[in-house]
Parts: sequence; structure tokens; C-alpha cells
Amino acid sequence: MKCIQLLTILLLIINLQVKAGDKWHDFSEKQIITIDMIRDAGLTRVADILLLANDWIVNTIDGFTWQASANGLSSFQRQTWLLMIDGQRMDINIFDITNLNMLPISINQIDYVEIISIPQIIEGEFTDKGLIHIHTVRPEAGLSYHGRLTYGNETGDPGPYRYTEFKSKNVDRIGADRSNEVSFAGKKQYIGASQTDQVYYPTDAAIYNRNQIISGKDYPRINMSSYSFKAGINALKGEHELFAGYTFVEDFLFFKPYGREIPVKSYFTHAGVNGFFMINDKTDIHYRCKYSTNRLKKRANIFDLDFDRELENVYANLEVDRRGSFYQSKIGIRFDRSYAHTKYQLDKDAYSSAAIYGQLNYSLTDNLHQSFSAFLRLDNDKIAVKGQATNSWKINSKQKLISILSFSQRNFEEDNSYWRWAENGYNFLEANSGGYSIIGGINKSQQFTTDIIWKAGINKTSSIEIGALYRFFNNLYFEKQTLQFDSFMESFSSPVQISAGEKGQVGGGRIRFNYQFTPQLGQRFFYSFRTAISGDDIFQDVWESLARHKIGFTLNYHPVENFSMWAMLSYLSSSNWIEYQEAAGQSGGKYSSTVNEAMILDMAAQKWIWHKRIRGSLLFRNIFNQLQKYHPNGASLELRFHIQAEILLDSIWSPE
Amino acid sequence: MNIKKPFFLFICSSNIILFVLTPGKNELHAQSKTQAFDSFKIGLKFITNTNRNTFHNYWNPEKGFECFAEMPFYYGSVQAGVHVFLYNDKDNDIPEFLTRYFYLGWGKELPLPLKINWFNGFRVGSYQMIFDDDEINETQIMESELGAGLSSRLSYPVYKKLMVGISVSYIAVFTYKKVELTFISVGADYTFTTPKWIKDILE
Repeated sequence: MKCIQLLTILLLIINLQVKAGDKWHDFSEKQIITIDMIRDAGLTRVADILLLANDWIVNTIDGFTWQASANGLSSFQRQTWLLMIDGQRMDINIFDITNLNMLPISINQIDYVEIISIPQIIEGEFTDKGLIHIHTVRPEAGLSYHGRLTYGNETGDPGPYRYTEFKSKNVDRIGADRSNEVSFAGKKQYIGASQTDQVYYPTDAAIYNRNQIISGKDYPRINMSSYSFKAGINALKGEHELFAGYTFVEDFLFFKPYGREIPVKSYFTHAGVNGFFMINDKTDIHYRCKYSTNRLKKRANIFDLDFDRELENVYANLEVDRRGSFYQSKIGIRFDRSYAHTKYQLDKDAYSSAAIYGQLNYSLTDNLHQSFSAFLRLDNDKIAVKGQATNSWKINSKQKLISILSFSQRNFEEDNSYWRWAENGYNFLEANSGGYSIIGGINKSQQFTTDIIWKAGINKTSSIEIGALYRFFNNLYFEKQTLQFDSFMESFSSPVQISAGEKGQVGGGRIRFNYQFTPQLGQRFFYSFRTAISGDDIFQDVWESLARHKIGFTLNYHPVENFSMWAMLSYLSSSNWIEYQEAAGQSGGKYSSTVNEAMILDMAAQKWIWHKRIRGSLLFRNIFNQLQKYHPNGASLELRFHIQAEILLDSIWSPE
Repeated sequence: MNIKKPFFLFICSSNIILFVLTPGKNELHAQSKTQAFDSFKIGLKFITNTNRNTFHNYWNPEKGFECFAEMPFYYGSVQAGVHVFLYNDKDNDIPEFLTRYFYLGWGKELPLPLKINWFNGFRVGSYQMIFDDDEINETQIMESELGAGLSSRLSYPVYKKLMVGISVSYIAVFTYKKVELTFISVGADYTFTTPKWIKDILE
């Protein structure tokens, strides 16, 4: 009933005649990372873009798989932020782990990335926990080939001293990674196919023994292969795209309830189409549908652990966008159906959800723009209501003040956490000498967010942005563990207690400052601060594992068109992981429950040759060789270098 | 001959001074338009290791050689080269090993009186160590690590574009226990004019 009432109100709002300005206003608050920024920074893998996301705090155990918290919208415990490629949702999350490197594209296929850190409706999804939306490059006319080869190494190998009393263990080697892409584009259509291989050695001293013991191999290795196909056509007064991809990874999945990495084979398949038809000059119909599978299989391990889990998903979304002289609006409906396949006996192996949503943008005056959106989601018989209101006030030609309020409920069924599966009968933990208990029932959670952002263009070469945020959470669930260190197996263990019904508040702020010294030399500075203001004990403990302060200072120098240098000085404050406190003491100093603060300098240089057909890039990370850790039991990422060569042969042949 | 720390400080300070002398915009553009990639120099040097530290308690440095190519860049010059050197074991339980240091470098040449040129720069690259050890598997025979260092060269023209020179260089290999090596080398190099089509590609 509530659902229908809210929808009615939304439709009424859409039909309101309001005074409007002449121009559309972009309400989506986002950070854009372009391919030029990616190239300047010498990034080599898709997951590396997280290192450029100003408002996101990240952590990694092995340096290959990263976890993230988007602008205070979630802790590390719930990796529920969304991921899209060209408007199609990518369901690569496995038990609350989203590894961006599992996407079936390579970093050189990216045109730009939108980092959404504030709840809003994007491409039929409500981004209550954040979104990374990757837009791939549209091929140039004719036949084109792009290829890339990268290699990296972390310092700290034993070298010749391995034959002496100073011997030590080998550390991570990175790559070699390769990617190839062929495409053909005409005036109105294009097709392209790509292939990517990645290799990574999770052999840092902090993780080597765990991985070596469980895999029984001296040199544990992560292998990844992916393939993608893309096609697009401009027809029927619109644009239509097909994207299909397949990724296979031989991985070491850190499964915290089990206290260690588990070797797995992971398969991800995706096929989707999306696009729009223009009905008339004021109305478009957008559609998105996809089919995907996400499967975990056994990779040889001494415990014979086998997740044996596959999630199949079908998704369809239809949206009507309407523009008028008074407003811009959208209204849409979407449907999801998921099928679970496993050897474990599930209570229910299929599950559906549906959603209906709408958004209205309008201008009260030339300087005052507003946006309202509502999103109603139905999971079985549970309704989750989500909505957002934005007010953008253009104070004068140089200043703007934006305020964004959002409220969202979230059904337990929306998460892809292990606990959702476990509650449905997936008893991997119990079958492998583990267990868990839930205190309180896991119910619908609520989230209320406020963001206020002031933006000012000081002059043509500089701009400043200051923001404040507030988040209120209710009815969250957290894993509570007191991990014990097993010195024989070099791993951790603890019974898991799921504490439900938790609440808390988060507050913070940020400053960004961009300044272009000269046309060749520019700098960007940002500082962000987030902390738990109040809340239940476990809420505050979980938020202690996120660094409160993050600072980044980037210099970009393009002395000539075909050569550039880039440097980034970044600071991340310390974090405290209370669940590792006892294990840290038991490990005899090998691990610590505190991840120390770190000030890290990265530098890169790139050179284009042959009229921008070939690019060479050299990146040094952690130049001062500081102790750079993101997780208490994770690798320390010492001074390392990445070298890459890219070849871009566009329009080699054209039929015309 | 032991090379002591002050010597490194001298090399470092000379390089720091060069960095401080950052090019002005006009100066850089002047070189970028007129000199970058105009010529290329190839050279060969014979090298000897001169310092002694913990590393040398286990291995005796033999002799080695270095080939390099150098081109004017938008500012200063860029280098690419390989340095090959053999280290003999002092103890039969420890194998000898051959090193190959593939590097890229950058530096700036300054003219001195008497037609002498003084080049100072830095290098980074992959320092590969190939062990003469039959008891380990093939994947472990070669190990590579980041190597970085400084170099300084005095050169003198002897015939047209043929120069002879003497160089000192310092390499730090970033193994868990760092290997620090200094070398003195003597050699010759010859400068060619870059064919237009190669310059066109490199620009």
C-alpha cells in the first residue's frame, strides 16, 4: 500500500508545473577519472582506480583484491557498493568481496570512470552504498588494434644473499599482464573483442605462509584470464549496445569467517544489452537487461575446501525519460531474478526482486535547481523505500552550494554476504568445522545521509570545494570475532557472532583544491575526514578499522605534448582492527591490530612515440620505501615499480 | 680502493644541484623544438667495481662492460643501456653469479673548459642476477630486482664526434639487504645524427 501511495505522490510531483530555467542541471555528484588521468598515474590494473578515488577508503590483504568504503556509506564489512560497465550492472561480488580486477576488461579499455559517493539513482540503481561506473572507449572508425604489456616488481627479494646468513623470502612479483583488443567501427555501428591475462604472486612475508601451507605450493600464484565482446549500433532513433564478458581467476579468497585465504577458482560470465529509443524530441525509452553467472569452484587445497556456489542472475529494466521546458524526469521499473546452485541444501534456490523508481529535476529559478527521486524495492514480501532530494543554489557566477539528503531502507536480501546465503541453508562453515550465531534478527536496515558541498571557481586556473557529511545508520548487522592466531597453520580462527540491530552515526568533511600553475603544470589537493560520532560499541569498533584522515596531493607536469610526469603524495591515518587484538599478541609481533599511518610518494612518467601510437610508462610506488600496509594481516607493499608498453593502432584500415 | 660515503654525497649533491637548476619554460621549449632526439650517442665502457662492503665478504668482483645509447631529451638527455658484470664466489658453497642491469636514465651534460663535458644523471632499471647453481630449479636461477643509482661522466673529444671518457656510477639494488656497488669505467662513445624518420617517430 505504502508503495502505491509513494508512487502516486511521485507521479503528481512529475506533473507539477514549476518555474524553470532554460538549462538542464547535472545533479549527479561524482568524481570523474579520465583515461588521461589513468595514463598519467601509470595505473596498470582496473582495481588501481580505487587509489584515485578521493572519497573512498580502501584496504587490501594481498595487493590484488581491494575492499572499499565509499564516502562513509558503509564500513569494510559490507562491500555492497555497485559496479557498472557502460550502464550494465556487473554482479562480481562474492561473499562481500568485490574484486575490480575480475571485470572482463583491461584498464586500457576505459574511457572514463564515474565515482559516485552520494546516494542517487543511476542507470536504474539506487546507489545507497556508492557506485563505480566504468565507461569504455568507443572504437575509432575502421579497423583498430590496441595492445598492452605490463610488468612490475616489488623490492625486498633476497638477491644473492639467499646463499648467506642474510637470506630472506622472495616477495611479490607483479605480472607480466597482457591485453589485446581488436575493433571495427563504421559510421553507425561498431564491434570489438578483447582478451586480458594477469598474474600475481601473493608471496609477501605476511601472507606467504598461509597461502603456501593451504595450497601446498612453494610459489602461490593468482592467474586471471578474461575475454569480452562489445557491439553497438545507432538505430531506431537511439543507441543500442551489447556487452558480453567472461573472467576466470585462480585466486586466494580471504574468507574472514574462516580466518584465512582459501584457494578458489572463480568464474564470472556476463551478457547484457542496453540502450534507448527516442520517441520524440522530449521522450526517450531506456532499456537494460542482462544475464550473469558468478561461480566459485574448488582449487586444490590441503583441507579440500569447496565453496561450490553459483549465482545466476537475470535482470531487466525499462525507464522513460522525459524532458520539457519545465522539468526533466524519469520513471522506471526493474526486475531481478536470481537462481542459486550448490551442493549444499538450500531452503530456497530462486529469488526475485522488483523495483519501481522515479526522479524529477527542475529549476525554481535560474539559480536554484532541485531534484527529487524515489525508489521502491520489493524483495519477496519486503518493501525497501529509498529516496533522495538535492538542492543546488548557484550563489553567483563563481559559487555554488549543494545540499543532498537521502533516506534508504535496505532489505537483507539485497546483500550478497555469506550470512544471507547461510540463513538460506548454505552451510559451508558448519561443514568445515566452523560455525556462527546470530544475536537478534537481521531485519531491514535504514540509512539517512546529508551532504553539503560548497564549490567555488576562484579564477580560471583554480577552484575549491568544501563539504560536510552526516550519516545515520540503524539496524545494521556486523560480524563479531575475536581472532586467535594459529602459529602452526599461520592463520586465524574464531567463532563468528553476527550482531544485528546495530546503529550509529558518522560525520566528516572534505576539502579539494585544484590549481593550474601554468598550462603545463597543475596540482590537485584533497583532504577528507570521517569518523563514527556515536553508536553501539560494535559499530564504533568496526569504524575504527577505517582510517579517519586521508590526504592526497597530486602534481601533473606536461612539458610537451608527448611526455608527462606525475607525482602523488598521499597520507592515510592509522586504523585499529579490534578483532585482531588477541591474535596480534599471540603472533609474537608478526601481526599487529593497528595499521600504522603512512605517507607515501608515488611517481610516474610516460612518453608517447610514433604520433601517439606507442606509449611507454614507468611508475614507482612508495618511493621512500615506507611501511605501507592496509590490513593487519595483509602484505606490506614496499617500493615497487611497474613498467608498461601500450600500442594503439587506430583506423589501420577502413573500407571507405 | 674503498670508496667512502663522502664520495657518494658528492655525486648526490652534484645531481641535486642539477635538479635545482630546473629549466625555465622557454628554455625547455627551446630544447624540445630544436634539440630533442636530434642526435644519438652509442658507447662502450669497461667497468670495475671499486667499493667493498658486506657483499664483498662473499663475492669477488671480476670485470664487466656496459653498452649504452644516449639522446637529447626535452631537457637534458635520456639514456638506455645494459651493464654486465660477473661476481666470483669466495666460498665453494656459494655460487658465482652474472648480473645484467638493464637501465633507463636521465641526466644533463655541462660544458667545462678544455672541451671537456661533464654529465650527471640518475638511472633506474632491472638488476638481474643469474646464479651458477645446479641445485635449484630453473625458475629460481634468475632473480631480478629494482636497481637505481647515479652516474657521473667526464668526456673529451678525440676525433670529430668520437669521445673518450671516464665515469663513476653508484647502484643500489633494493634486495631485502640492500646491495650497494660503485664502479669506475673508461670507454668511448660516438655521436650520430638521428635520421629524420627516427626523430619523427620519437617525437
